[in-house]
Amino acid sequence: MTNEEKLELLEEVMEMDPGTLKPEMALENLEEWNSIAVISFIAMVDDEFDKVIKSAVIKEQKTVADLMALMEEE
Amino acid sequence: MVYEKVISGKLVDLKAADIDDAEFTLSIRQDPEMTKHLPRLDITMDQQKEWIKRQREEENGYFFVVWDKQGNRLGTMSVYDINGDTGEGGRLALYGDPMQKIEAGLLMLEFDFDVLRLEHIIGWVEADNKPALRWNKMFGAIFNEPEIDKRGKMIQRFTITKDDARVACKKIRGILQKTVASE
Repeated sequence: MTNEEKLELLEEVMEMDPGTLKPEMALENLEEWNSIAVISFIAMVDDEFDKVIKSAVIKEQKTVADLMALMEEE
Repeated sequence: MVYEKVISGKLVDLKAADIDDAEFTLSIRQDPEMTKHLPRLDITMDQQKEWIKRQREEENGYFFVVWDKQGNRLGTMSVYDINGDTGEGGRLALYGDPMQKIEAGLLMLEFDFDVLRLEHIIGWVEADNKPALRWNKMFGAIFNEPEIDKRGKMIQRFTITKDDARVACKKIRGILQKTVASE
């Protein structure tokens, strides 16, 4: 999956307009990175990459790029 | 009304609020972050204690404090104005991490539909409160078109049916079980 495709998926998860997210963005500055987005992200990664992300791992992620790095099959 | 049992989850517990919770329940409703879309309470501690006492005596509602497993209060949730098979959900104000918040939402809905045996939960959110719109949709809410309320604010009313909640909660619980159980 390309980085552009990953960003599109993340924009869907966070219900943001296409082209809004950039890898360098800090998650703590994104109002859209909330409880619902977190669970939607976990569900998306499970569906797309057949991978379960532990909630403790989610807490460690700081940037959009960190989330993109999780979006790989194991 | 008081639900005497602790509603216990893997990450959080819901317990009926009592007057010992007055300070916390008042402070959360005065927190600027929490009161962006939730009416701020400009009352005294004594008034909050009296309100909690009345809540405990009223027959058509339940007011819970959400606790983490370490004994810290995380927030509040409530079902009130119960009339027949319908109650109103609200007074939702939560600190905590995403999984704790999600589980609290699940436990509250399961209480509404499985313990109280309600058929519908209704409520409203301010139309520009995107997180709240999304939160309720995630739990199965169907929203009406926006309308202007008595305060002159644009709101959207919603209904969660028991069946829609069951489908939504099953999906959410499946995700929670995978992501928390795997730790």
